[in-house]
Amino acid sequence: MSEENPNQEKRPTADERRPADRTVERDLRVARAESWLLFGGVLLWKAVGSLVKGIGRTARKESMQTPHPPVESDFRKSEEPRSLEQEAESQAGRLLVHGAEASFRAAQVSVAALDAVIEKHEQREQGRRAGESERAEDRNLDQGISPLRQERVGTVLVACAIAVMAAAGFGFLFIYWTGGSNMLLGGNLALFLAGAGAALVLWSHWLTAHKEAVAPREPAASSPRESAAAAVVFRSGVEDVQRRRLLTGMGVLGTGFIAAFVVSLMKSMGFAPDTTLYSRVWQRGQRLMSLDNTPVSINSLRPGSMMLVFPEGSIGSEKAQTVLLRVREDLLRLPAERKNWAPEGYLAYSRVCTHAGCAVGMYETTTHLLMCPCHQSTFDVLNGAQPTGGPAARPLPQLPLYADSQGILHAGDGFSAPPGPGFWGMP
Amino acid sequence: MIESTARFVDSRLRLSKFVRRAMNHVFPDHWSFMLGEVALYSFVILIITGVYLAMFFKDTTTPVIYHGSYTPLDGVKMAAAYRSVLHISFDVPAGLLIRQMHHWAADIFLAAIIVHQARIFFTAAYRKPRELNWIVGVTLLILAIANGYFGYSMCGDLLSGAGMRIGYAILLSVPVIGPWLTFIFFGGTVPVAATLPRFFALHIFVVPALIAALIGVHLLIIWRQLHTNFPGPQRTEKLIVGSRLWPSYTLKSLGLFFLVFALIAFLGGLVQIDPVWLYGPYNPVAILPGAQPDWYLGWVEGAMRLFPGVNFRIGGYLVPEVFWPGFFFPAMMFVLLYVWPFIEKLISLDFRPHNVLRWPYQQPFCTALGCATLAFLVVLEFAGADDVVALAGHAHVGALRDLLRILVFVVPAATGAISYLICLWWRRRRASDNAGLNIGNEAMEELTQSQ
Ligand code: FES
Repeated sequence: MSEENPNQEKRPTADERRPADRTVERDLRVARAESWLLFGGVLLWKAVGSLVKGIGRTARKESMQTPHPPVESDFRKSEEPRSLEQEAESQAGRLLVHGAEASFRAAQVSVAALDAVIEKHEQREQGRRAGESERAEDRNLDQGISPLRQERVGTVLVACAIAVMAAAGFGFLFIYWTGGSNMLLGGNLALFLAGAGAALVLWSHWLTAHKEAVAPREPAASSPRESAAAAVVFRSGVEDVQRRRLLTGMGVLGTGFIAAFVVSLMKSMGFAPDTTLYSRVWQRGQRLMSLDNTPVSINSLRPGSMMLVFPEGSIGSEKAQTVLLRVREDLLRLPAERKNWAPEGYLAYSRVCTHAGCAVGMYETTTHLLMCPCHQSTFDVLNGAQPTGGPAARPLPQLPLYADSQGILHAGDGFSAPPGPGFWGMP
Repeated sequence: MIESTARFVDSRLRLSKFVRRAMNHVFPDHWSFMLGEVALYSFVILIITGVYLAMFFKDTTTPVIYHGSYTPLDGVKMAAAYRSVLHISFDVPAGLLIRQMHHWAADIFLAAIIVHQARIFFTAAYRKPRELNWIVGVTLLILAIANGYFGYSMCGDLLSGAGMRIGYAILLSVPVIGPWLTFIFFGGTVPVAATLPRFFALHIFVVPALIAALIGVHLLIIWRQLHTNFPGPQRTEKLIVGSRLWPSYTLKSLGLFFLVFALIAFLGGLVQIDPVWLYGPYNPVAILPGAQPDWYLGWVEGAMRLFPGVNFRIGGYLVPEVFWPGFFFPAMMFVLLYVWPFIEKLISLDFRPHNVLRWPYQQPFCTALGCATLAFLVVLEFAGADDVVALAGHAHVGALRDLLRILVFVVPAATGAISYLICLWWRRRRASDNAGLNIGNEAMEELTQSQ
């Protein structure tokens, strides 16, 4: 591929390399293999050791537990699994520590071993360098450090990353199978993936050839000749279509039908707004019910308190939720046409915020303000729940009330407006 | 093994030429070029974790009684969706890990998109011929925000219920078509059983498919046009400098994928996010003080809080107050983002294609504008949590809000002015660094590019 490389970078082929390079390469290969062997061996040794230890410990625990078989199975069910789980978790934690220790030791040993190997190579190298120092410098120009050293550091770093990955992967599996906690699972998974990522990045950084590559850019636009040629082909097709006026028209019509077909399928999705949007929810004569479905009477509230009410038969409905308050009658500042909507100082307003529809659930007794928790709009209950602060612009719809001869509260009519947030076409 | 497989495929598809060119593709080496990759990889992780979650999630609001291992909610009536989320969180092995990873991945996805876009903006990478990819990117941002909203609205907890109701009110407020849009998206006046399956279908099929398709387009365009280069030696309009796809870039990029994955696994395992079990099931009459949307919608929430309650009618028809801050304002922000590359052309009167980036200090006006916009969004983000801020600082919400109404204009203006001055200072320093040649910045840029 180097012969045909269109770009400006030159990559030497194997034959082009100098014989000295090849010796170094062979030495490197040997060093790499040796370090991997050492590393793997130590890791295996440590892993097997800690596994044996762990199994031994678990076995001891189990043998201690078995002599006392459970009698009250119901009782044990609630107690035992938890302690077993915890046991498993601590076991997993211990194993993890062992794994980490093992990989650290393995890394240490392999670094030392590699050092010795590389030292030897470097001595030999130095002897050679005396003869051809110029060339050696030329070769090392790339990274500023000796390729052997780079190879060594890189190998060890990548090996460490892979060891972390292996240990954490093992830990994850262990914790998963023994039903461990979310945190341990996440931590191990993170370590596992971080090991993989680090291994790849380190590999790329230390062990691949780093040469800045330069490539030409082609212009973004087509050349005039190319576009002219494409236009000719396209136009001949267009002419074909244009000549057959009728067929083209039919095609357009057919496409229109398909569009209409797709759009009309939306009907099944309840596409048109229905009358619920305009509904004023309450009907004249409906009783006010509390959340536990009992009628509310004129004695239910003391001045300064409030409760949540619903129309009969719609307990818990979002749209129909109504706040019922009682205030001192002499404080009321209702507009003239609402004078008799508030018998004995009872006031009922929609509990759905006119701003964006949250439940207006907070009542400031001293200021007589209802407040919405979402964007802190406030409504003056004495004055027909007109907004006094915050982003809401419309008052909460009021419900006219009357009390019957037994003192039960009824709705005099629907809300004064459709409850809830505004929309185009809202009266 | 690999070679024989390669030969098998190559002898049927004639791929060698393409593969060779692909392996020699040059990618610039700069950390800021990885931001887009982070976004891409978090999307992959979103898909992986999302598929797992979809196997357990129920998209219905059918009322059920909970009897799972989370005892505080034992015997509570709730939507089947919420019960399935609790089931994932407490009874599916590693379920909570995957769920939290999914949420974190969504946050990182959005954060990466936004930072990536800011990088593009501040280095003017959107200039000709890359306007198309800018447009694709803005669309991806909108889709990602929308899907985040659909996602956290599906859980059926009290917080998501509040979010759904506010989203409903915003859509309903659109003049003329609002009620129709609302009925198409929500299936009625919220809360209604029809909404959840719609959100589910959008969240797991429609929007991810669109995102995946657009990411494909995004990458194809990049492949076609090659990356930009920061100014530097050899980096001219006609040359690209960097490292090759194979092997160094591939290894590094794959490594980045695992590192992003690791970060998300770490957050998902150790940092709690959206603990729906603490909010309780959605209940239309319950109130939840101090509720905020996820951070990528906090600026809209802030605008909704700061905007005064104006209520006016056009020809007798109501334009509700939430329309302006909740719909019009974000829509305008996105429209401005869409047309920005073209506006910039009109400002700079520069219609030539560019492959070499501008440093932020080389474009003081654009940099100032970008900083001001970011500051504006940050103030709005604060305003979106003003009740919590007021509570923490023992301040009055109303007073704080009045202050924020001033700050929302003052802070961006100040930020813009300061960043403009910094750019000018920096440019002057650069110019004097250049050996007293005393040539203007434009000329210098010209010089670097024609090398
Ligand atoms: S929903 Fe009540 S203030 Fe916004």
